Amino acid sequence: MNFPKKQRTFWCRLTVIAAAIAVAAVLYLLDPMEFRFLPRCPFKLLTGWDCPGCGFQRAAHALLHGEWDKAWRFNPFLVYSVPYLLAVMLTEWVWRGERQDRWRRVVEGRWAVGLYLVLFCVWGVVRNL
Amino acid sequence: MNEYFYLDGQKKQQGPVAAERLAALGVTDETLVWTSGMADWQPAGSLAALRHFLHSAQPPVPPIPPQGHAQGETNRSFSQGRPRPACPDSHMVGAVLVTIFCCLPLGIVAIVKANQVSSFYYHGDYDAALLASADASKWVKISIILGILSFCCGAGLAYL
Repeated sequence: MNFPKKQRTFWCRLTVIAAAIAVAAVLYLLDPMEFRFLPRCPFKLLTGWDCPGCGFQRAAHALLHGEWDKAWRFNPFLVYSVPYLLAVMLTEWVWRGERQDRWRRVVEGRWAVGLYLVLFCVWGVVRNL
Repeated sequence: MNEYFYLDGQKKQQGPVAAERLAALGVTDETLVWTSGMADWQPAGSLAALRHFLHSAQPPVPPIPPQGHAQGETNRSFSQGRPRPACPDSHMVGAVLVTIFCCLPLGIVAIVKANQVSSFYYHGDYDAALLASADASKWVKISIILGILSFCCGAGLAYL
């Protein structure tokens, strides 16, 4: 592909945002507990174990309807990782200059990323015990 | 007279210094130099403006104090008067997305690489940051492709 780099970045971001909105719309309208045709986690189908992301459709459905406690029960990791994702998007795509540097040092720094990875792995193990 | 930055033997950025002093500081024809107005680093020997200074054996001129910021628009927190390229894309957004949605441990590799981009960058190792950025991009793409494939396989299995 011979797009200039800036243009490619723009389309990449637009795709991510459009996909996020589409997924959110579907998950808002359909309850994954009733609509069985929504995609199932391949990891779970193969191994029978829950992956760290399992339950995200149900949790997102609950979150979109403002039911925090329900979302927390389906997938507590999502309640933490979605705000983290938003912080990263803000840092990378919205802030510029000095503010971006300051945010990046924190949000993409060793501690924030380390915490995210540790929680990701621990949650993946703990939920299968 | 322009002031020049140059890369020393350890590829560390030095300067800015006046053109007259470059030779005395060990800059040769092959040393990469940069000054405001140049698109990229170039060997000192390729710049007509410097040739005169590099090939005349003058004694070093007394030091001239640096002139503050060479480039107004670069990130202000690096304000030691050094030009610094923008941080390479860390692909952190993509990396976090694949850990949540692709159900694959590969996302961890992508996140670690994405984290290295900014840490190398803020330690002044721009080349390593670029490499880490390319790696992060690669792992995000691999995870997305494998994720989509495994979802399709999963959907297929579910209906068998």
